[in-house]
Amino acid sequence: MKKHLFLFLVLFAQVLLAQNQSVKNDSLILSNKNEIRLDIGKLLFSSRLKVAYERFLNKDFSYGISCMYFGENYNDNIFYNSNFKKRYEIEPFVRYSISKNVQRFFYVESFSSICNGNYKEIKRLSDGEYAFYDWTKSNFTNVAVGFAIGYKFYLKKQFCMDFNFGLSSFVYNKKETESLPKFGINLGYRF
Amino acid sequence: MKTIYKSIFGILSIALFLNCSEPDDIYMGSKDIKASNLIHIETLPSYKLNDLIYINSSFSRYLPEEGYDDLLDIYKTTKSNEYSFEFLLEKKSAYDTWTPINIGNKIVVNIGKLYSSNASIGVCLFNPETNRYEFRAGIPLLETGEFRLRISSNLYPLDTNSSYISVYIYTTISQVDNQGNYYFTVN
Repeated sequence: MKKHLFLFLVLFAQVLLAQNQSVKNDSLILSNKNEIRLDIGKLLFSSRLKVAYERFLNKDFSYGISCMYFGENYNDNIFYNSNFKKRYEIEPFVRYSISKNVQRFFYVESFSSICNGNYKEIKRLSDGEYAFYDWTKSNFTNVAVGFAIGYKFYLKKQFCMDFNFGLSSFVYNKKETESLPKFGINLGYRF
Repeated sequence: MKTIYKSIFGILSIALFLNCSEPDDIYMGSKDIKASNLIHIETLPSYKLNDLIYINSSFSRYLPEEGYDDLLDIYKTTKSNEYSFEFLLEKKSAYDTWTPINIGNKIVVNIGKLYSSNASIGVCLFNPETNRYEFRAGIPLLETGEFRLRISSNLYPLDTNSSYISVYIYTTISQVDNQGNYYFTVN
């Protein structure tokens, strides 16, 4: 009986300690209000550089901005397989956590995207005698708005992994494309 | 509650992934034009065993386009040396029942190329000397009976890549009915 009581007390103490540790970790995470992130998925798989800064207002709300540079030679095949090719993108966002857990949670995000790039369209041209169709490139700068969902978890209190998916649509002049999907795998540091 | 969030997250993720794929119509640019009588059947007053019925297609690289005064250069647009169309010979086996005849390796090709699958695909080859796409082939009539020759009215370029623009040509064939069939009897 004593042995069982002893075991129960040890387990109970461990649970309390774990809870205490979890609360301590939560408060440590919440005390850091800033976070920077690098989209490692884009960097590794498509040579795009995307960095983000996020400021936490409280446990649930945060806001931030991300910037992405595509590079001049960024996968030119994509240009011929879709109607547009972005060069850079600036993306302000607001996030709301939909989980109670501070160390790992799902969130929803509203964002806008200011982007610049090229779009292509087929134009009827003439060589002076006969007409022909060809692709033509034009520059565009546009603003898109959209929503995303994501999941974030913290490792070692300050480092985080962040996954998100989203869709946006251009606000005006929609001929470049109908929708802009986004997908991110981010590694972040909270400070 | 947590399960509900996870389920919503999962469903939305799948929906977003499905949305991420590009629509098919933007993978390759294309233009459709209409041109009359680019394919024709060299008909005979009557057909007997071992006759050849010829299909002929010869058209310029410069075609008229509805709404424009100048001619469209389809070769410069598509960079394609080949334009193809499908045809199929069928024999009447019972009332309103038509059976395809396998004629692939028996066709006599004078100009152009031929591919065979379920139907035969006639390929008009570009001739730079005449600036025309040309095809002529004769189908041997090796059986007696009632036949129909079905010819598609679409000509589409082969051997193009996604950086060029495909010009699909919708043509008419004067000898066929509304369904694209030419009926004849071999005695």
